[in-house]
Amino acid sequence: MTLVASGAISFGTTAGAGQTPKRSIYEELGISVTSTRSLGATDMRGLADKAGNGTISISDFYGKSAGTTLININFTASANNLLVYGGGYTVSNQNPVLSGGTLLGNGDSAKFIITDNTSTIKVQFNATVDVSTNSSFPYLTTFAIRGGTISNIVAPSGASVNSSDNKKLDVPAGTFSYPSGSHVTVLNFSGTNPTASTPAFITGSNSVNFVEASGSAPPNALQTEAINLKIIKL
Amino acid sequence: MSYTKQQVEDFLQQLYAAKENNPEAYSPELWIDIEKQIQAKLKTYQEI
Repeated sequence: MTLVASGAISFGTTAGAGQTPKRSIYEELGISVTSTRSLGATDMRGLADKAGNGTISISDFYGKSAGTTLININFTASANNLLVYGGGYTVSNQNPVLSGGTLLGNGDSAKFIITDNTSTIKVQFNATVDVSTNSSFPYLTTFAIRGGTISNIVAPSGASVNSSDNKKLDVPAGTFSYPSGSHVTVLNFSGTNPTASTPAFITGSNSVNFVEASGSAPPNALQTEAINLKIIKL
Repeated sequence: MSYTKQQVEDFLQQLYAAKENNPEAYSPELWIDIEKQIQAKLKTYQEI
């Protein structure tokens, strides 16, 4: 569901309950309509696409959709620059991004959000995804950002689409912490899900790859602040 | 289901062929991740 594009809108139900489109921000967030939230709360900013400490107003919620959260998970393993957000998916335990009642299909739009351990939004953007199965290696269905579709980059300030690969996002130095130095980081998001014919020893996962934009990577660079990934189907 | 060493080696060859035919099919880290999983399975045969 999407919030109304203009006219009366409210936190709770002052502007109307159960409307189509919705006029209650709390209804769209799926929380109690008698909740008390500040405009600066993480979930409020996330819905309004206003991450960080910038000004936010009630009009920022016009036309916004909370979407359906497909995955909301802290990283479970890390190796070098790759953070794996949920892994070990098998035919009987499938990747929730690519299986189940609500899932990402080819050409769907999604919101990607990385938050740190203080619930501050580090990275947020929207993109269309490609979902495909490689015909010559048909054991995993994959999602990846469709080139040229990254939009609505809400955080961090100064982030931009990578100039040589428009499936990736460049984020400024200081967005993520390294053991040494401060580095512009290139982010790449992807995931896999086993198909019916997948042998049991090949599993699926969701991952975010962190690579320095230039220069030599410090050894074992780990982005310790990037702890949570949300993928929301819009 | 169990797999013979030959079957696992065939999976690896399929992976390499797929990568050669369509390098863009998976992101680089996914190619590495899948190869690592297959190599790990192969290693279990070598340890027996």
